[in-house]
Amino acid sequence: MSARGNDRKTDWITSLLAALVCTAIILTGYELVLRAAGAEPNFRDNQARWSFVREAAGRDQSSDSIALLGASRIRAAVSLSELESRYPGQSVYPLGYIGRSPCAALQDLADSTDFRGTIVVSLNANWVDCRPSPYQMHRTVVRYHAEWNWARKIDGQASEFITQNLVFTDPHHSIRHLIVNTLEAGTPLSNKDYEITRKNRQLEFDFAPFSAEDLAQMQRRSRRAYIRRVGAGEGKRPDRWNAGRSLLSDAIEKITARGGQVVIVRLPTSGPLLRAEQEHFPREQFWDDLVDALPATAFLHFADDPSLSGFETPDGNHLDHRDAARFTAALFDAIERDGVDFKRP
Amino acid sequence: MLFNSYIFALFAIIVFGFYFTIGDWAWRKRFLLGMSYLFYAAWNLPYLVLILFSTGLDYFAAHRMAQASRKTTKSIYLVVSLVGNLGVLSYFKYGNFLLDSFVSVAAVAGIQYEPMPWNILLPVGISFYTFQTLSYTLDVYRGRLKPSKSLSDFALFVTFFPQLVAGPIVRARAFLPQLLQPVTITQDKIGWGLTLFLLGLFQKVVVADGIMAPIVNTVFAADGYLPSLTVFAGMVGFTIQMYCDFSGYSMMAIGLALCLGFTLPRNFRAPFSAVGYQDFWRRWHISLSTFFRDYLYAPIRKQAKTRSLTNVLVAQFFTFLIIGLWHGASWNFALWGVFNAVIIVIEIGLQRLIGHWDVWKAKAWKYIFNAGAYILFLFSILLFRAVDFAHASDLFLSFFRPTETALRLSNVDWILMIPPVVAVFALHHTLRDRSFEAIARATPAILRVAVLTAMLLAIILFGQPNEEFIYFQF
Repeated sequence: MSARGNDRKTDWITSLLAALVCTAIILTGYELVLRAAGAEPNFRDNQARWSFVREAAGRDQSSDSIALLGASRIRAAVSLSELESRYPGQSVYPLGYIGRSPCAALQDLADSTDFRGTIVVSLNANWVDCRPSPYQMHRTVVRYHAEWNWARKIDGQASEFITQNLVFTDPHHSIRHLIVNTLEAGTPLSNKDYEITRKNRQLEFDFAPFSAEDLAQMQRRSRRAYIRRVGAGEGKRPDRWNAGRSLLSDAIEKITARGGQVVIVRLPTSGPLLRAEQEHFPREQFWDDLVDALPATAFLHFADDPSLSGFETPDGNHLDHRDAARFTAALFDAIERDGVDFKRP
Repeated sequence: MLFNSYIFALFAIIVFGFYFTIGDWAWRKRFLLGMSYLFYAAWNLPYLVLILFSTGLDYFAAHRMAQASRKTTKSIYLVVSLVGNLGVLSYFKYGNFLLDSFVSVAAVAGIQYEPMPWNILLPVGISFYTFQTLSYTLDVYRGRLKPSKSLSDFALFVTFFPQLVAGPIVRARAFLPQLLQPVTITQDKIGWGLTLFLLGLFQKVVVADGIMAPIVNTVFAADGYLPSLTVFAGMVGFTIQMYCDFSGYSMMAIGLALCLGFTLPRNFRAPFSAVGYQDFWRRWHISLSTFFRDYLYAPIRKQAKTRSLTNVLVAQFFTFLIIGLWHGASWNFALWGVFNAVIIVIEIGLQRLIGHWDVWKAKAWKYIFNAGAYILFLFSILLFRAVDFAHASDLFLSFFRPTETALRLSNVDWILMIPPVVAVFALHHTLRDRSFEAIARATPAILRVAVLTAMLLAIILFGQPNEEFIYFQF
């Protein structure tokens, strides 16, 4: 592999420069095609962006701050601007991570910070298993944030700068998605850019451009993804369930002991996904067990509250961004009705 | 600082920007040393102390060894170096494992002991740079190398950023002489170095992280007995992921070093074309296997003073057990080492007993031994990748028991996975006895540009987050 022992000279520099020029031309073309199709630059959410928020939460010791834990559901359902206007002057930390269980993040807030505000955790029964797995946040929390430093901050800032200026850096326009689109929709380019990440980590789903048939396909996809995860063994085994519940319980106890509040919420889902969730993790067996066992300040299941159960999740999993402000108001009204005070001195 | 990160791109621009403008060789080396420390500090500044300790200890010990006239004195300084380096390595890497094992043994004996949690981060690259510095003191002790006259040269050897955190493990004998005279940097070296870097980055970002990791993660996160085909795909996917991840890093390291004018040793030589298991280990992580061959296996053999089969087998067994434990502090890795040791021992035994038979000369056997070596490696990685022994055993038994968890790969997974698997195997068989560089140089210019363009596009457009390298954990 070394450059020695070969007399034949190859002009690698010229080849590389030519390849760079070709790459730049193709990427420019791709960028223009995407923009012409209506796509906009999207913030690429990553571990660095999560760590920026987590760093700020770690410094916060006021009792009226709010942290939001969960996955894409809570990041789409809770409108950060609505929360900020509802609780002016109070800090809100969106610490959800797409496709990841909040278990490790809750443990992290309990063990590694002195956070004593209110933590709203969006929890599904299949996420109670807290063992490290691809569906957990251990990797982000333990392996990434534990070594959060100046270099990672610079890298995070650079990533932010690039993703907010170039459409093709959005994972939805990656090669993997081009292949998925081709197989599922018959065309490589999806001009329906419905999932937008804002700079404050607000996730917005725009389902307006989709037909009923598109949405039905999305619902089936949500169900398939769920079945695949449940099939991959997320926590149904009694030993795993009990161990995960015990870890959650310890974390909640630690937070409440220092004056914090932990609210566990089950956010709305619908259609085939909801049926699959009920089939694999029947509410009576799993959610009710959590309510009995966890020392949380309050529990809220969307199905129990008429003000929450009426919301639609067009892809089965997420609220449309037009509903987020109304849903946020309804959700926090309901939590407050359960006796949780977000404005504690 | 990952090679596949924006901050590394910035770092590389600064390094190359200044490196070529500094005329004085001594200052150029000092600059590289400073940047190498900065590179490590980007991970963890406090742990830089460990590298400085290791550097100081071995520089001092080697000089004292060289000055000592009595063998006993030399041995004392060697022991000081070994205890110092391996002590630090053991504390950070094996502390938790030893503590857990102690607690388990105590529990068996009826003693309930609950120690404080061992929340210590493993310093990145500690196994690599520790072995690198040890090679120096061991060579000085054996009289094969004179101690370095320059502390900063020695420090640069220990800390050289392209290979600091995941190898290849460079011997002092191979690197220190390169520091004595100004290196020759040619346009050809820079161009080929950058090409190697790009190839390595492609392997890492596209094949290992973009294609294989999501599939492998899904399969190895599953519980219970899975469909055989799913487990098989996960195992094959992990061998390709691990190879592309680690050989990708090595290739990037070699490419970067070449751009700076230095030559690093090869770490992989088409391992999936190996004919037999010993051949596989001569082609996989070469810098580690040769390290253990020279500094562990050979001394054990020498100690025995006879060339009996039993001695060879004992030396091989012990060496592979240690190789297993080098990879990770868990019983899984120890068992992985034992598995490899048993296979190697059986292979050597059979070679001695029936290896001389003419029947093996038939070409078909070459393919059978190649497939056999891969299949054995495939099963060995169950221990390497599984969470624990019970998990590895569940995955293994999935081939024989009724399915409990109906996890199946999607069409997209298969479409993405099969081409790189086929390509890696085809490439390895092509490269078995040929130089990759020769093939690359013989490629027509237009095709070369097309391939480089395709790789660049794939790197940029695969859309995966920056993943750490698998071997960083070792």
